[in-house]
Amino acid sequence: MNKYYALYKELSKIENNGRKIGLFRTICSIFGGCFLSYLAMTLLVYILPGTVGESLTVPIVFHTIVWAMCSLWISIALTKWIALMRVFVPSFIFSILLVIFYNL
Amino acid sequence: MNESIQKEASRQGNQRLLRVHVVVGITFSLFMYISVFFGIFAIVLPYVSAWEKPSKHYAMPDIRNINYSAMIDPVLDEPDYPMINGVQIRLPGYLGNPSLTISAPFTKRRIFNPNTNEEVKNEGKQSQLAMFLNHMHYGRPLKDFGYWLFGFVAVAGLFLVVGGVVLVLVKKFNDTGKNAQSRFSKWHRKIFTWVFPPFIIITLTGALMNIGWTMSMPMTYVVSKGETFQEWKLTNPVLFPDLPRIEKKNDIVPMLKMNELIKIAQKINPEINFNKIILINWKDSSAQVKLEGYNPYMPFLNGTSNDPSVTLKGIDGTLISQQKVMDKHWSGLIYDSTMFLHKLFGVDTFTRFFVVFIMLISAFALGFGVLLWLEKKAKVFPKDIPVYQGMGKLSLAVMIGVIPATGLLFVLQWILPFDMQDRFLFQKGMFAIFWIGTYTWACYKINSYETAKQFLKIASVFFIISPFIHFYSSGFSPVRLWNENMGNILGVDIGLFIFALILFYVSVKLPNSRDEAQKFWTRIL
Repeated sequence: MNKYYALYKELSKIENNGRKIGLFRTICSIFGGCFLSYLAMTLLVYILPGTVGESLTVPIVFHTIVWAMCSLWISIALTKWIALMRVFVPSFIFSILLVIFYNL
Repeated sequence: MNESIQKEASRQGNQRLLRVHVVVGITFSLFMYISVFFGIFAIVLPYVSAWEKPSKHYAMPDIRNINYSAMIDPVLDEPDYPMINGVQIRLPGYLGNPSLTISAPFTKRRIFNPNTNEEVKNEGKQSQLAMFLNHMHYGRPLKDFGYWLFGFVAVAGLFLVVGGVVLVLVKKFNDTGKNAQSRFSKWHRKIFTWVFPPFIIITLTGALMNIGWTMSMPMTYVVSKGETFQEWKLTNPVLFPDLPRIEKKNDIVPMLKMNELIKIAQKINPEINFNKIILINWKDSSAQVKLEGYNPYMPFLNGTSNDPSVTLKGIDGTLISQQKVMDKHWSGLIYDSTMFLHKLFGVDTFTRFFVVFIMLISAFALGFGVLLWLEKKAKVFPKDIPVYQGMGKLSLAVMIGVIPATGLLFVLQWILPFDMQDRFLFQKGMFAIFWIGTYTWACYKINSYETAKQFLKIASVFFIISPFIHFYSSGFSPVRLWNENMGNILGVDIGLFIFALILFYVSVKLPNSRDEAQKFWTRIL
């Protein structure tokens, strides 16, 4: 347990300044942002009214800009831990909602 | 404690916002520039594609007095013309194309000159200048890799635009600095603050076309509950519905003349500029004709997936159904309104050149962004030594070197004989070699300022001789082009000439050394 706590401590350390983005945030923001926006847009297909064919176009069109926005939001997180949480918490929520909508 | 963390978070957040903008910006700047640069040529593609082909050197016909029947009806009357899969007819005037084309699956496309109603021979794959410029715009020459690369560049572009807008809102920038760096920063922000709304829409649709559709596979799989991976199977019935299959009656009856049908359709919906005719079961008594077009009174709402149409009976021209612009499903309307600024189907010359202007200043703003980064790198060295920097040399070759390379494409278009073997391969090969050559030259010369001036001078020579080569090789003098109503082709010649003069003027005016550059940029910006 201590090992994980040490990892958490390491990740949630506040850096001296924001002049370096680092590989961790880069990966979180590119792939995490893509994943998160993809889940959000898939959810949007269910939320928009109409048949699947009717509501599929708009989420596909806007996926890339949502991706860019998510990436931006993740990349400016204060600590690595926050960046990680910005990927996983909304993704988790969206996944649960998706499972619910899928089985509805 | 909490307050201090919040303060730190906002300070570091601002720093990261700027840093991430700089890093992503400089990484993707050159690709974005290539996309914007060739995008400008892609916007004027209708004019270039008429300019490049001898077979399109005739006047744009007056659409009110075209005798459609004289061209279309003889082809349809040919006993073995295959009409079983439907026939498509493109009317003159669509995307600046003065010709009329008739095509059916598995047959040669038939192209007509509407002024004389005679069939013309197209150069086909021998002349692809406009197409090539368009392909360079979205990475097509690199096939799938190019699509993914430029699609990802577009996403990075969206990231930069969104991040840039946030930066301008939250961070205080100082505009009063008396050096080049501060001027670059000022104009980089100023221009993009003006043009970011159209820029964001154009980049968004660019990303959609390159990777958006491809990336939608898992999404489609999930929402269709495992039915299909291909989004078009679900969206096409809404965006591009198939024509209904009509049972043939298996008889041969005379059809109404094409002129009559077009007149009837025009009367039913006078707002539409018809540009496409689809014939179904032609010559059968169940025959239908669908006339599609663009409604210029409703820009942003039609043109891409939404084509307002009138469907008539082939025998007597009675109205079967018609679709107006607003009859489209809302998802189609949203799709069209985002695509409109990028595709510019059916828009008039003014709108086209307005978008050219927006993209031109965007290219400059992109350039200022790169110059800003380079200035920061160079600042640490004393003023009297020239700076030799890798990214600087690469940007010089990519951003300035591409101009003479493109000029060479235009020169070769009319210097090479049209029946030459592998003509297009040679043309684009020379373009590539010249462009790489500019990189060699940029790296060889120490003074980048001098090299930039040389590139621009070479470009101005290329662009200034290409209209003259065109006049000589095509046999159409400017006077003849004017007298025979080929303003669209003469316009390209004049455009190239003026572009060359501007390049020459700029090449003379640009500074020669670092010291001069500081004075120059603070004076003009």
